[in-house]
Amino acid sequence: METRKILELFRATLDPNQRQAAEEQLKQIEKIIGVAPALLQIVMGQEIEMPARQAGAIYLKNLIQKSWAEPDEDEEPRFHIHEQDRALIRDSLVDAVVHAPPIIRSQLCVCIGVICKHDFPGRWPSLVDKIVVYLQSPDAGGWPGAISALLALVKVFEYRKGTERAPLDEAMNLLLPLVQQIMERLMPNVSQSGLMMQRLVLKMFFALTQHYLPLPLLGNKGQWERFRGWMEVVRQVLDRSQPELEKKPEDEDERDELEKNEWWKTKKWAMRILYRMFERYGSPGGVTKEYKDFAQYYLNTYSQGALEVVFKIMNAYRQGNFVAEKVLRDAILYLRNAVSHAHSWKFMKPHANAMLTDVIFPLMCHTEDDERLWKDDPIEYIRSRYDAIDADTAVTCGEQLLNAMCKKRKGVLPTCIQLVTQLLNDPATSPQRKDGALHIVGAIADILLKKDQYKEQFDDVLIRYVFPSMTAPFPFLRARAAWLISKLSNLKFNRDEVLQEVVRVLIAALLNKDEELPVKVEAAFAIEAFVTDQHRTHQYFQQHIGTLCLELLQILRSTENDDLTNVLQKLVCAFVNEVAPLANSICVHLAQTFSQIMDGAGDTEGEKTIVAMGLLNTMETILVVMEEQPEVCLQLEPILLQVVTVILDKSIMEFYEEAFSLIASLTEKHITPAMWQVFEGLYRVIERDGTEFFVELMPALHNYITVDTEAFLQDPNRLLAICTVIKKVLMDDSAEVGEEAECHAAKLIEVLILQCRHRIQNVIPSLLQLALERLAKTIKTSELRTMCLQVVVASLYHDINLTLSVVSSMDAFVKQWIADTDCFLGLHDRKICVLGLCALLQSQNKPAALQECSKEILPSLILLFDGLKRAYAAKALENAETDSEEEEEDDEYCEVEEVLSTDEDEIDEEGAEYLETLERKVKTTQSPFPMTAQIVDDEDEDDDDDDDDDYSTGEETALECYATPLDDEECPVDEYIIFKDVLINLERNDPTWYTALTNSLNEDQRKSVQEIFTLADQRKAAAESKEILKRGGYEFRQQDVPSSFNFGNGNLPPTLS
Amino acid sequence: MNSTDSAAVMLVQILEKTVSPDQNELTSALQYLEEAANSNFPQYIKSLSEVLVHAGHSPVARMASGLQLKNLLTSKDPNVKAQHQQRWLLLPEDIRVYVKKNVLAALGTETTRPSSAAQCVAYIAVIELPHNQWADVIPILVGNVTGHAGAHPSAELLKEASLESIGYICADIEPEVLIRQSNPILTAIVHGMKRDEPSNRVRLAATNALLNSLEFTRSNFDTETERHFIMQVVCEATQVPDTQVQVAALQCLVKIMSLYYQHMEFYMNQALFAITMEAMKSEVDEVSLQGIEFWSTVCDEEVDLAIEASEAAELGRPPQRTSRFYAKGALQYLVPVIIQTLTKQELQDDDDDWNPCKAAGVCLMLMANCCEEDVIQHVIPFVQTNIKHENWRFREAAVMAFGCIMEGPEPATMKPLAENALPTLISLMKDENVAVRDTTAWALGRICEVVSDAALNPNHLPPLLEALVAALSAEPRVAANACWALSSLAEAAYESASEGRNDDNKEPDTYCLSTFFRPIVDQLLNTTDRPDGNQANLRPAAYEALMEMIKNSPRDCYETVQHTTLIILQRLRTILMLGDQTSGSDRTQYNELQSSLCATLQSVLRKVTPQDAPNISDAVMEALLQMLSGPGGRSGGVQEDALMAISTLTEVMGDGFIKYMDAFRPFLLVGLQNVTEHTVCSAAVGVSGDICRALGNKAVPFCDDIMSFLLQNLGNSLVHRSVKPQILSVLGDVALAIGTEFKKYLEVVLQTLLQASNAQVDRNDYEMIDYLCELREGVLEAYTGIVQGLRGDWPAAGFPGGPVNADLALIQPHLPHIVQFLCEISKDPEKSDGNIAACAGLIGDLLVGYGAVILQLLDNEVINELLTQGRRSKTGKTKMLSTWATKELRKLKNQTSAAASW
Repeated sequence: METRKILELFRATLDPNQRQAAEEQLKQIEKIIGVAPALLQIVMGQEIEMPARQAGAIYLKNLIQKSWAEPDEDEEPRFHIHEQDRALIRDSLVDAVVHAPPIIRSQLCVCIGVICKHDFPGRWPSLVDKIVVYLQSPDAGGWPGAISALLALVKVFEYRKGTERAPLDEAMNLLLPLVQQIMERLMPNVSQSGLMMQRLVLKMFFALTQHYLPLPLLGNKGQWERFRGWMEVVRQVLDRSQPELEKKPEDEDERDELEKNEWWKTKKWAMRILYRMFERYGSPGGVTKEYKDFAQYYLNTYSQGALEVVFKIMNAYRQGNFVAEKVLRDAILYLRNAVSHAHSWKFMKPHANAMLTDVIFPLMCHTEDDERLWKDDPIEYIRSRYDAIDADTAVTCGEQLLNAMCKKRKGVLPTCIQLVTQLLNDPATSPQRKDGALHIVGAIADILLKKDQYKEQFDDVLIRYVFPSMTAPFPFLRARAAWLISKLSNLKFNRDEVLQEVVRVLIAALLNKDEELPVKVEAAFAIEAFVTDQHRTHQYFQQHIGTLCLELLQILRSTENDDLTNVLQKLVCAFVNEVAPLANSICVHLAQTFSQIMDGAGDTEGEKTIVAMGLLNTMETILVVMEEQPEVCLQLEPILLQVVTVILDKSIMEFYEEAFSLIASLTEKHITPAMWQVFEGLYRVIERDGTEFFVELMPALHNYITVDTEAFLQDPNRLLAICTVIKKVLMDDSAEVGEEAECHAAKLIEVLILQCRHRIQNVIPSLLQLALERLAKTIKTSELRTMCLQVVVASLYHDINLTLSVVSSMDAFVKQWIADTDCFLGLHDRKICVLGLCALLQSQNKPAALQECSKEILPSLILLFDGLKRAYAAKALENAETDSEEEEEDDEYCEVEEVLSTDEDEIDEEGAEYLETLERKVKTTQSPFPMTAQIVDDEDEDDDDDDDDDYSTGEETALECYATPLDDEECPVDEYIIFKDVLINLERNDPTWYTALTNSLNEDQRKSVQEIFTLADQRKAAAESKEILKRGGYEFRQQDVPSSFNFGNGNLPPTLS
Repeated sequence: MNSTDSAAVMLVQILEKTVSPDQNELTSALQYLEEAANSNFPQYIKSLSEVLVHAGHSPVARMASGLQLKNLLTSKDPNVKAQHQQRWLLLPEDIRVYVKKNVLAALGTETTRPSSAAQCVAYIAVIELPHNQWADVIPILVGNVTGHAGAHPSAELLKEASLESIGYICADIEPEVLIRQSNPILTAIVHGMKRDEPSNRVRLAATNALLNSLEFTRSNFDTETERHFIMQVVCEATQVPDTQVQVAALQCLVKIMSLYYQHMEFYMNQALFAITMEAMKSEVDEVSLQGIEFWSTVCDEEVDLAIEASEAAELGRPPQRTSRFYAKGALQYLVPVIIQTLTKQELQDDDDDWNPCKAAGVCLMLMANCCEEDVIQHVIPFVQTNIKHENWRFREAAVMAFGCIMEGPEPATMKPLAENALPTLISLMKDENVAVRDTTAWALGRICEVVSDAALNPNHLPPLLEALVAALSAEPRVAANACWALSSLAEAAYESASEGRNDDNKEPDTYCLSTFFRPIVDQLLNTTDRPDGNQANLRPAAYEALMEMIKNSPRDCYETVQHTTLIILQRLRTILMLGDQTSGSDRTQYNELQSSLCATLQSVLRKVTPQDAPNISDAVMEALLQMLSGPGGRSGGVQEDALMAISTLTEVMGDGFIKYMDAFRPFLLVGLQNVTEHTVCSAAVGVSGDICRALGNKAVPFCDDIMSFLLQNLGNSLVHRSVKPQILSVLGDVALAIGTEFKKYLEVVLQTLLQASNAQVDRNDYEMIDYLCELREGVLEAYTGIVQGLRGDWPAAGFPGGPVNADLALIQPHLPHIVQFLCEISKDPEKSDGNIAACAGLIGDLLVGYGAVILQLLDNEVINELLTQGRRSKTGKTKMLSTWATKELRKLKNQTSAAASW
């Protein structure tokens, strides 16, 4: 294939008239050997016009993403780029990147990333060498490309840890010093291109270090001379100034322009690095063990210098100069972190007051930009304040810094209070500054509420400053007052009338027709907070619940703000009885809002989806809290059903999860005829949209089978439908389904067998076949293998002869099963495993393999029972924990200690504990349970695995939540009792087999069997005891004293004669 | 007649005189015997046994000799008993053999009952069997019972006496000694209990013996055939016409039920239910009592089993034993009988008299506890129809029944019932019958205690209080119940006022009793003054109520607290002035009153504000000193009360307490030396610590004395174990108070602490492990006090690596040991949370005190582990101290690590 021909095709794609044909042709030829390298040649062709090169670059990128990797062994064969072509591309890609214009370079860098994932370092050792050549070259023209390529490489490893990073670290050993040298040489160059290169270098360093700090790369332990070099670079970038870029432009657009200037972008990355180093690796007490020494070194060495730079930035801000938002934000975060450490606080303390008055306070005040947005687009104003994505603004970071200083350091809080009091008491204070003062109070409210001298005063503060602000002529001040009230929801009110007034002003704000939306929204959030935290207020809210809910629905519709759905849900949950009569109309309203959003133009797609999901969740919440009032639920059903039907009929897949969840809730207790129709609808959905959503659908399907088994079996089509779906999932060869879904499908088979038993006898063989067939194919996870085994096991328990007649290769099955008994985890799986084994043990037609494994069976059972014991204990513990969740800690002493004196470090125990559990988790997931698909015949095996470590996991499995009759609390089938009965029976009636099973048990194992027997007796007694209790106590039949007593045979036992 | 014979005749005569109605004769006889025992014990005991065995002597003499002999072998006082046993074991072998032969031979020959020979045999056996001596006594006794009846001239007497002997042995010996002989013993017993045994006396003796043997015959109960047989003979015995046998057999059933519940299902259904129901209905009180007792036991057992079941459920395993819910099943039959019994009140109620009516009340309470909600439906109809019955017996029974079921069912269930009943109950407080009023007051108390929400209901509270306050002037027993109800109400009201208010421990401003507070307190004060206050425990009850009122008073009742303080003080002074004139039983009452006043004084002092304290302290102290110096001061109880009150006073007075020290010092030292009454000693040790804390440096002049007694007590094995950790901790208080003045005690104290810190205990004994924790905590507190005291206000080494304060340097050689001690505790998996807190505190103080010197020793994994554990503790104090210690450690590390610059 000629390069020229391909080029023509690309040119054609740029012409709307020829595009389709050209693209189709490209698709046809892309598989031909030599095409991919040819593409690269076009992209690199200096002489070729830009649009065509660009189109080529994009095509190449897509091709590489899709077809670089060879398919896995178990994957369907598909096209991949021939190794010959791949070698060619690898050879020239770095050169291409270096020589490409920026616009193409970014596409090619993506290619480097993709290729690295698969080929680095093994097949692509030359990558590093190429980059080195360019970096070592005195020709600076090659640097941007080389650095970009390096960045692409580093990004591949950005989130990897430990040994997974080794290839990168090895490469960086060579590369990092080179980059550092270049960076040092680049530093004086503050042209946009020079700055751009600096930014790339910084970005690379950030990617290299943000998740994991490769200490060996940073110099000798304790010296860290290379790290010191990087810190120097960071400092210089932050420290240098260029007055013309630091003047604050009046115009908003100019400010945006400046924000994007390379000068500030470089500073942004430098500040990010600085903060990251401190926060993640440089904070003694807040780091994992590996960084312990480094943290101490960092704090001691860099605190002063870094803070000087940070304060320089702060100073610029104070003086009204321009500071890019993100630089300011990370600088503030740096300070917040510095508050915790005595060593850094020492340098920070002298600036504390200035920070408070000149940086934090201005940030807290209502600004002109705020005002403009409020006026122009109040809904956008609300969104910008509560959107999780924008959470880390300079303002919120300022709140955090303020809070940290007041909480942790002596003396700051009084100063702060003084400032606020002064502002609030001065009649000349502008409303904007008043807003700032109230904002400050709210930002430190949690601290004030813990201190006697302040919390006592809050009743007055509310009366003097907050309530009046609620009626101030400035809407932003009213909104701020409502916001502040929401922060006081944990206040213990001394005077009930103040609390009543709080409730009154909030309700008034929300219900006032003329009030502006942002104020209403703040009032709504405050109401939510008080309903949650102050149960006393319920009596005051009670009579207004109806109107409040309706108003909320209105605001919700006009703002489409997701947080408001939470408010509504809170009210619904707290006032079930009051809401019950309204439930119907609320749901109707929500359903209408839902369709409004669905019909609306999709400019902010993600946002709308979130709100719509919130609406669906709210409807479900209402349904769930009305559970105890069946007549309300019955009313809600058609409304919710309508929403569900729309989603299903229109294939609105992003809401399938919510819709399926709603269906599950609607079928929780009973299933109406309408819901059976939905069942049919669900079947059609799967027929149409495939099995992608099977996992989400599982709860609903489980309900259909178990909640009304009678009705389910009444119509044979229903069983047929379920079976068809299961088959579709398990036998789907496209490999898109995933093993998780397959696990669920297998679980559903098990549920069917155990739930319906003999009534589906004729279907069981084919279901078993499905599991067996799946078992015969490649399986990656032990969960799926176990689950498929479990289907057969359940069937063995159900009807052993039927199962034996279906399973042709019973011997192979038994061997695998016995070998895999340790993969049966949780309560249900282990129980069914024991029951299946017991069924097999006493069968007349024992498979030969069972005889062969006779020595392993009891040890396996002992292991299972051991696990069961832990699983029962874990379950009990979980029940107990949910019962007593509100056990409070004794905090008598904690509060007193909260302020740190200047030379004290903060001890963040919760953080440390969190880090430790994180570390443990990482460790346990790094060494997953050894999976063995083949049969292990190693007798020593048991001894090795006895470590306690395994015990923490596996006491509960995810699929256990799909209960079967065996999992019922009152289930009369007890695996312990059955095991004991079976074994005792065998001893009596089949001594040969019994001996074969037991004669190689060691002393400990015999003891374990005895313990299981004892537990069996105790469980039996406990069950009997429960039975007696249920009948209302012991039943006494003999009520007259017998004329004679004869308990035994009346003879004196020999021991007593 | 030789001299021995004449001595024997003499002895017989004297023995006969021990039952003489003539007081003088009796006294001189006893005196003679005592001298005889003292002058030649072996001869004396020999002679006694001779008199006993010789059938020719008068029955009186024989009986008396047996009695005297028995008294030489055992005693109710455990110390005397041990001495007696030792004396017997030290007798020459031949004497013991001779005596044993005689007492055995005497069995069955006596004409008096009970057999004194049987007792003698038993108490010798009790001494010797644990030492593996007299191995044939059990076989001989058993043989006496099971042997051929004709062989002995008085077979019945021999059987009876032997069984009695077995019974005594079983009753008095450690069960494990007899476990191996349980088969022959039981054989003899069942032999004696068999249906075809013609003698009721033999059956009674056998049944009593069985009662005593039940604890060590577990293995027999575990064997089905044996159990069947035992149960059969017991059941048969319950049907014997003889009441004594019946009662004994029923007692056996009660005990069997509590010991062998798990084996009873079979018999419950076939026989026990019917037997005990019939017994409950019996006209004979003793029989009826045992029937009720049986079901009380069932309820007790089933309550325990319910707890066991829920504990097991929390751990996710089956319980080891399970309930069969007999009580629940039997409720429908039991409750009518119980209620019937409730109406059989004695006309003249005597507190000490235990009768079926009272037993029925207790049984009903237990049923309510055991069966909870289920009991309501069976009881309430009776209450409703009878609470206004014209016959007082029915009214009283109805109120009683209602009060009994208050506890057990969920308070939420009982609340509406109680609210419903309150008006009727309040009106019954004016009933014409005192028993009804009494029980009503008690029932109201139960409501106040268990279903306090109902009592605090604003609609019911005022009339309820009015009725209770009025009842304070009623008959003592009614008034005492009213006192108890008021105590419960005060507690409940305070709790509900504190609830949901603030997280801090401050007193609430007011509560629902505030408006009634003063009148209630006044009336309680009047009640304590009632001349008949010694009846029905009224006076202590009134003081108790007064203390609860004071303790649970909100801020707006402070004025009444002040007022009460003055009154109590006045009373204490008055009574002290009367002190010398009392004697005898008045003396006991007088001491009791003193105790009550002292305790009340303590409770008001706790409420008094520091500003008010100096105004009353002189008077208080004067009274307390008078108490200590007066005649009552010789009683341990009075000493303890006064010392505790002084402790409280030091807390409110602070260093103002110094002015009383000279006067108080002698009494303090007397207390510290009171080794025999450890509660007094403990109170004195406590006061010593309190004084040091209150006086600070001003305590120096008194420390020599205090220290010398404290150290002396530590080394004294007669001082009760529980006082020692406390002493250690007080050493710390002393050191902290007097600072560098402590140097003179330092060497000896450090040595003592070194010893104490090396203590080890038996790790299988939970109690001892707890004790070790306390002891260690005491040591840690002592070290902490010393380090803090010597350090004074000076912050450690002024700069990193700087010199340690010279006084602190004195302990420096001990630092490695102290750190080692800390590490040892850290590694102990059974350390208490309090230990961690104390360790953390000491670590922090060491860091502050020694700076860089100690850093190397302390900055290790073991200590860091300990601190981490402490920071994660659920207890605020532990968390706070550990966090502080960690911060100090960090701070020091920050300082010492070379400060580089960038």
